[in-house]
Amino acid sequence: MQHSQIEEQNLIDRYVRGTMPAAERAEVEAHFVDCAECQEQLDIAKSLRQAIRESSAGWGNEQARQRERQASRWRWVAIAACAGLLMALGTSAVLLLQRERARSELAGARLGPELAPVVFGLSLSRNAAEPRDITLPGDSRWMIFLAEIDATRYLRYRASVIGSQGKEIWRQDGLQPNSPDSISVAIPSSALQPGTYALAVSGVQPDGSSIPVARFLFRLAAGK
Amino acid sequence: MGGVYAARRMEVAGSSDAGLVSRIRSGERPAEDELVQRFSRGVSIIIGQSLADPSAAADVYQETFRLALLKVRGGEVREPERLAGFVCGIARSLVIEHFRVAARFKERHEAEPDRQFPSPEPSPLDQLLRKERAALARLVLSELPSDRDRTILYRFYLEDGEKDDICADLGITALHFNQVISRARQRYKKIYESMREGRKK
Repeated sequence: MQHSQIEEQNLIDRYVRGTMPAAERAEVEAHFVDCAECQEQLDIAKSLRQAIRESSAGWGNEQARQRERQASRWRWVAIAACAGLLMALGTSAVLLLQRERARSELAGARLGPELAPVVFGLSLSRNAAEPRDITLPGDSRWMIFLAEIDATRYLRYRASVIGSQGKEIWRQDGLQPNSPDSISVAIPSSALQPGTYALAVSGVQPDGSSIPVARFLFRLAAGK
Repeated sequence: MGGVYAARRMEVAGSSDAGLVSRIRSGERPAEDELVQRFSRGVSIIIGQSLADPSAAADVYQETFRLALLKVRGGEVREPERLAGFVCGIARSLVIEHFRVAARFKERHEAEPDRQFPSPEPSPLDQLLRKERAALARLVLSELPSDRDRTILYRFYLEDGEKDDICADLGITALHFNQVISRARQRYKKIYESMREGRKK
């Protein structure tokens, strides 16, 4: 195997992921076992992959929980709709029709967040007074805000998105820090419109009360 | 992570594979040292890719070189010019054997419900290193010029997304993708090295 082939075909990353067929893997190993450059690239790729995973541990779980909550909400909407119709109309034909509609709504609700998330870093050290400019995804998907905070003081955090009128338009409770200095907040893009917002992060005390920790301004522009 | 910052060159790669085999067969002790030195790091990576337990990895590493030297001395290398592949093959076989033995052990002891084995917890040093690595990754991510580049890294490293899919979804070229990944790796390496230097001072 030629060294150029390793680079061109991203073989280093494929090797680190462990998804290579055995024969190809044997060929790659026979090359890099004697190639200092590839060994170094392997080290870096492996470490960076691990680091990114460690830095974002937590938001994946939260994302799954959110999805489940959203699906569950739709399930209740569907059940309520069905029950109401049953009482009001009393005909099974209409009930079936509505149930199908609810089902398709539920499927639609699931579609958006299945798309790959987009990730934004929010840092107080940049310029806290200036809102961070962000383009709103054109389609429905998760927006992951990676907020830098001192996350060592509380076990759980609360994140709220506040609109320009001061109204809370979205809230997420029970957030756990990814690391001592960051927290990931997953927000469905469908919950936000173009405009200026503040992401307020508070630490939750054992008695349930919350203490403000950080506030990040961001400005959403409409995406394509 | 040990190797990211260590400057390495294959200084010991002086002999050809076939030449090295021939020298070992003729009883040259320095040639045996050369074989170990030459393949040491690569063999560690191969073993470490499959075995997370450092003590098991160290055992397999030792056994790989013991067997490799034994076989080379005994003339069991059919294609001496492919010595690297031969050594890799031994390492892989030993890793597989390790898993076979572990599976048999587990099977045997599953019948003993009262017997508890403590799960290996990361040591305080490991935990510290993880935190450090995570902080570095966040720094690298925050320094990327655009959110799109951050998304590329997340999708590639976190979601194990395929390069072609990521390029298609984000409307970027393979070249741009390669540049983002390559720059991120280089930046990560640089920050890590400077952090190590700072710690030494």
